Amino acid sequence: MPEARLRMYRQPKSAEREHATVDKSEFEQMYQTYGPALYRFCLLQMKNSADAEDVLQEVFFKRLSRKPRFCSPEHERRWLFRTALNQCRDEWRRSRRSELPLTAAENVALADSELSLLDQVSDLPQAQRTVLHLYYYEGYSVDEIARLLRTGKSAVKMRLSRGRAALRREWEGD
Amino acid sequence: MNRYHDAMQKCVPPEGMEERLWEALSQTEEGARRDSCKRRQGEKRFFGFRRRAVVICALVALIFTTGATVAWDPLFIRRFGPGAALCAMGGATFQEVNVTSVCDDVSLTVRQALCSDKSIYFILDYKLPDDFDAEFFAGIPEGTECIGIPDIVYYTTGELSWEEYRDRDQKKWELLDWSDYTSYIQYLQGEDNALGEQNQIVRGGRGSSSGGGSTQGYDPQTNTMTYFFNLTIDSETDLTAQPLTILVSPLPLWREGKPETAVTDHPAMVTFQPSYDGPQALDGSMEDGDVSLRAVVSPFALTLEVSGMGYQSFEALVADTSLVFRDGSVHPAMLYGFSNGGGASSVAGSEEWESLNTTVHLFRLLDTAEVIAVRIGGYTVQVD
Repeated sequence: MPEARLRMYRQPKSAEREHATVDKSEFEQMYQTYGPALYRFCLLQMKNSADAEDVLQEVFFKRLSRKPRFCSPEHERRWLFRTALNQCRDEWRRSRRSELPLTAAENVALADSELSLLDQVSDLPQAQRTVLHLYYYEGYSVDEIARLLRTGKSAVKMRLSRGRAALRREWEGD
Repeated sequence: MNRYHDAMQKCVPPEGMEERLWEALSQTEEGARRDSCKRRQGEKRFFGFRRRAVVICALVALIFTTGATVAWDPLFIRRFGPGAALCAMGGATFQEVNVTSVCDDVSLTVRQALCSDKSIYFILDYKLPDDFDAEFFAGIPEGTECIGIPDIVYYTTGELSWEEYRDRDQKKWELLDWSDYTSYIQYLQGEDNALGEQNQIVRGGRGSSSGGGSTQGYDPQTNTMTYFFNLTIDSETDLTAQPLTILVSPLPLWREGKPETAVTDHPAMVTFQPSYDGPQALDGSMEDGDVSLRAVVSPFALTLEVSGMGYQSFEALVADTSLVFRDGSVHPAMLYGFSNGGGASSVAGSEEWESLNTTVHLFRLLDTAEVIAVRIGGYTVQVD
């Protein structure tokens, strides 16, 4: 294996990892491109703005300090969402995630019905709410979601179907 | 769902978030992160050192105050070594389950489990029907297999009781020959069984997984067969995020080296909530032209997927793989575990494997916090 091909990732020694430098223009570009979308995704998972921001900080740090190389913007986008989801899961595990209703940031004005809808989606099982969000908000196709989550297309379709059915039941109950 | 899109669209990030993020990231990274992520980092340290200390102290306290020790089944001790119960990962993965499910004339008990988000090892007792004639064993030379290992399929569920499942599928069971694998396996793994209709299967046709089982023996006092099963999955599913249902085929009875009949005429199921209190499996991937690699590291297993690397056997792949640790040391994967197969595919018309995947089942519980990368051939895949 030729040595020149070997390293896709810049790999600072472990001691250097903690001191990796972050370039401001790179940060700004990444924030503008992905920040709001990742924030909304984390908000849905964590249910409150402060925790979402905390997770986002960790995701940005991983992305900007480790500087993994990507084949395409889509590859990078998938990586970011997957890392965010993993980070959220680690947070749930540590904090035994709160069952409080979803709360948006203070500067957001939502009608009660909108807040209630977001809360209903965020209360779905993690697998269902994740695919619903990626499909209906991010506009990913079933194929793309399957690739992002590294699962089968049929599993994605099943989660979409169950998520929709669960919401329908909620709405009929209301 | 347009309403959802519109409502979510209004959830703009809080004021000043961009600046706060930049501030946290740009200050001397270590110091800033220490301040802003104090809780998280503190907990990571807790997992590494403090938890070890707590586990050991708790064990010592247990031993001195009650004379008890952590009741790990000897099966786990044999599989993972005597030190496993005392290590940090042992405390994070061990679960005293003791859930029994009575399924008409047989019952299943999951006694203990070791579990992470991607792997589970558990001890399963299968209580045979009361009318099972222990004389069945008479005349069979010791060491000869006479009760086989059941086929099991895993579902993430928890909503369907045995009675509901039985009432819905009983008619289908009458059409199956439970002594013939080819007759029932599609039913067990298929979506036309009631569990499959309602729940996500985590093994058996969709998604990559690796697992196995072994017979631990028959106890005539309790009329129970004991098995030791394990499963490692390579999908987005978190085994601990919801209850896990294990669907078990009736035990096959063998005569003269082949299954002749089964102990009963229906499958059985047991549901429990796996628990795990450690970090998530580490995951990393990379692509370089035609080459692509992926590695997943959990306390129990190292899962590898490679394409375009030219490996023609799992052994060669594993032999060429190393774990890279936080302290800078690099150790061959084959010192940590073994692989007993996997999947492979080739380009049409080619006799060479184009891609391979395999799972290295680890001999000991691995503290994943210490692993930073997996080296495969000349490539290094960072995992996080």
